[in-house]
Amino acid sequence: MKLRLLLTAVTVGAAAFVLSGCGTEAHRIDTSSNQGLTTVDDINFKDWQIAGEKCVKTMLDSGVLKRKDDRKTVIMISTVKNSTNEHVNTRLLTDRIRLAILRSGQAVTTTAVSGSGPEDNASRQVRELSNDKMFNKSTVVKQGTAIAPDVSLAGEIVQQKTKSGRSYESYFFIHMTLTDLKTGLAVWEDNVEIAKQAKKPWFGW
Amino acid sequence: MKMISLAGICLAAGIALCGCQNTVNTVENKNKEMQPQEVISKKVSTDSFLRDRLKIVRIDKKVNEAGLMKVQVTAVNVRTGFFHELWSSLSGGKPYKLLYKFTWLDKDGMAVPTPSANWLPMSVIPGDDVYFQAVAPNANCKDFKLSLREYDKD
Repeated sequence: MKLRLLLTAVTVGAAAFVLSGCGTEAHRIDTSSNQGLTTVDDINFKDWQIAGEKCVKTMLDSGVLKRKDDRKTVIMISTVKNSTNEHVNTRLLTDRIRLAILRSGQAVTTTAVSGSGPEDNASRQVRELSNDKMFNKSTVVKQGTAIAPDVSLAGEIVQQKTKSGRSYESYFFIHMTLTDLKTGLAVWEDNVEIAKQAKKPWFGW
Repeated sequence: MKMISLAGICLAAGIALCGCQNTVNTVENKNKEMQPQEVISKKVSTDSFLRDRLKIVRIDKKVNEAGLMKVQVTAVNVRTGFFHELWSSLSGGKPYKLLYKFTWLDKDGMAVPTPSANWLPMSVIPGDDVYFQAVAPNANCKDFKLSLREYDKD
């Protein structure tokens, strides 16, 4: 009886030891590589990279950012509506697009106004300093100097889930638009489709 | 007799496996209207398996309205035919998946950092053409390099 108990303990111990050896230590991965995790229900960082790359490519190729005068187009980042069941931070897409636009040299982004209020409230705050006796009024930024945006970047992310037997998939549809604020017309639009599929094992999760 | 049976089974299995491999038939207009600016290319291949499977057909470029260079690299998956299809079926290359990345260089040969300099996935069905397109991140970019490698998790 004692021998059996001992054998069981040794077996369990050995199994635990082997299983604990299956894990990997936390390690950094190259974000430009293909090493990231792929999950069905989430938009993973590689998905954002693919979506951003496509949007930037078609936007720069369209030539809509190039103005006839020498002035750079001023872009306002409006709202990217999250119509998925997941928590999605849409800045992962919009920041990628705005950085590419800035580096193209054809446009600049305003932080004084955005879809969810000013991204940087400082533009408004510094103008209010004219009423503060602490500051030299001649050094305070005057009213009426901020440049209003010409176009607005907005979009929506939609998710559709499908299940068939043990297979399940998520389809994400990202639609982005660039609207000319003078006319209200969309001067550029693009879609990015992401579809991911997996199959549940017979046992477990 | 046993040998003949074994050979027959192997052949049948090969044919069955090849049946799982889909290739592409294409049709296009013969008299072309397009007048592309072809780029003379220089290739450095370190992965002969990839080189033999994906053949670079041509490279074209244009400058768009915004003054940005746009390039298109046309390649074709040449791994068609019985033995190639058999091998693709066995090795799981159906469709063939790969990763690509564009690097842009300025007139001084300096690599221009771009927010989108990442390896991107692409699938190519045997027999089909694939077009790798990219637009220069700014007007200072004068040259480019396309890197290709087989799809993996690294």
